Amino acid sequence: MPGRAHNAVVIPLLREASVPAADSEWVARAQRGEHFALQMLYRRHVHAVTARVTRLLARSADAEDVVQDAFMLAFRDLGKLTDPARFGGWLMGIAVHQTHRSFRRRRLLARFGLDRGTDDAQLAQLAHPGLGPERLYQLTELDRELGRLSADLRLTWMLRHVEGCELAEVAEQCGCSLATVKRRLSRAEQRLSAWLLKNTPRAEAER
Amino acid sequence: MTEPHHTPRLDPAAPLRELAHVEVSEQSVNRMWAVIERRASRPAPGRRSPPFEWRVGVWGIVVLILGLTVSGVWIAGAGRGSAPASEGPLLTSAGERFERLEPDAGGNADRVSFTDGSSIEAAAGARLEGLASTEREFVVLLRRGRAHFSITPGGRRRWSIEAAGTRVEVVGTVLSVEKTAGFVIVHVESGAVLIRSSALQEGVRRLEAGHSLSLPVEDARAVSTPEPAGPSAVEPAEALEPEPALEPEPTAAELWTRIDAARQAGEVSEAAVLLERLIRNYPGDSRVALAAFTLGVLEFERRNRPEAAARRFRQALDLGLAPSLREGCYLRLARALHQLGSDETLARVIDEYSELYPAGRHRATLSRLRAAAVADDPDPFSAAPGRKP
Repeated sequence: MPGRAHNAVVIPLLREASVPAADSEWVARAQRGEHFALQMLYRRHVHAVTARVTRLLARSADAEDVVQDAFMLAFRDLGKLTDPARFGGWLMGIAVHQTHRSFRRRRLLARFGLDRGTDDAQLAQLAHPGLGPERLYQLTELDRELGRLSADLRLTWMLRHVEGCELAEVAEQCGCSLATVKRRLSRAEQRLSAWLLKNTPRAEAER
Repeated sequence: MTEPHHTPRLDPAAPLRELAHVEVSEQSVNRMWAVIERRASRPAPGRRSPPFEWRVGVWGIVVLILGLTVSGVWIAGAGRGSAPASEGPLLTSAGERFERLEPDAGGNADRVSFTDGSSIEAAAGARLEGLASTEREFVVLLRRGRAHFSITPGGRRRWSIEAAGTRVEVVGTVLSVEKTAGFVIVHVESGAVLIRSSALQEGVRRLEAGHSLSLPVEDARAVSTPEPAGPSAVEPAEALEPEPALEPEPTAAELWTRIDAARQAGEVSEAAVLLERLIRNYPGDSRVALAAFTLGVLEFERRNRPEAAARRFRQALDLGLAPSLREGCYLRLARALHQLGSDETLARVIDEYSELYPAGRHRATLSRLRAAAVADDPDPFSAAPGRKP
């Protein structure tokens, strides 16, 4: 194979991801008890779930626990999934719910001075190394502002504006109605108003 | 109710998540899967556990009662309480400051653990000295040999490892640093480190997990640098400029010579770094497939890193490894995949082998591996003494 040798120095080995099968097929196989199908579902979604949960929680150690719990619950309740094609969204909803629980637990521990964890995955810490100092500073400010929000408001706002989810998707993942999502977003933005006023495109345009 | 007006974006064209990228390593993916599998194998609980707040409440009451009971002891001990591990200097598990770690050259590796869960393992013949230990900083000097560092992430304390003019800065990661006669070799297993050395182009470089860097030691560079004619002959700025060029890129043939020398001397890490360099810098070299195969063998048999080994074996096959080595390469690849538990890929590799070599000499062994993967047997060769595991 000398023809392809020169541009093939870095070759991904684990090529499961390229196996052409839809979620629905793997879910069906998993529901029939195929262990490998569970692993495939895990590998297909673990990166997206971990990335989202890590950003939402801002703490990588907690994120791993939440991801494990989410997959455990998803695999346990796989039989209840009526539309296998929607496995991804359903799983993400479970992960967001677990994230919410983790937040509440963290807040409670913090209230008693027992929260020893460190926020090592805040937006500013995850920022691309090439990001300019001014934007990095904006992200740091945003992290600080988000830290003051309640778990409900923070998750809703982050799903909408950090993760870029549609409103319906936010509602699905938060397990609440569209109206509740809009109300939470509105309240979150009132609290974040100082930051928003400085950093929204509209504010930039007005300046 | 309408959607709120503000659409906060640092850049209107890019959602914030694109600025805050989360990298999920293969290691953590595997680790999480192992936990999920372990937990899934436990019997399901009869009923759902109560909410966390309830449990905290119950435990709070229990702790309160206990606290009141032993309050006298607490008050008595209040004056003698020591600071938490994160405040003050980092101490060893024995509660002492880290002074030195120096296993005998002919003996076994030696290990020291710290109160924050971090640890250092020094290979036989290595020597490490503690230089500073504060709330914010922990500095060790590697005088010689190889040491493996496992540094617990999440704390505020920055670790620095000094070795012959090279400084490796770490917050939480797993890495090894080796000082040989001519090089300091840094290999990062997880996390990322910052390496500072005057031998680097900009003086500093970030090294990610799975990568190695070999830097010439200060002494070696001092030998190769000609002395200036007089104190004023060279301006300071000019004196700094030529440093990155002190070690010109060796040719492929020179690299092979150094690889062979390192392997014969048992310098596995150095040989691995040189092989990686050869593969990266000379992709057109006629022996690059052999280099990938050799590196795979080192990773698998000497460094016990099946994932890296599997990647190299696959690379060697794809680069057109010599026919005489191909069958053996398939076998090693299959063994590495079996160790990794990557059953799907293993099955594909065995199918590929069977198709290419219908009467291949490793068919029986590979069939056993396939059967072991199905049976979830981690060591299919244990019942066959004399076989190479």
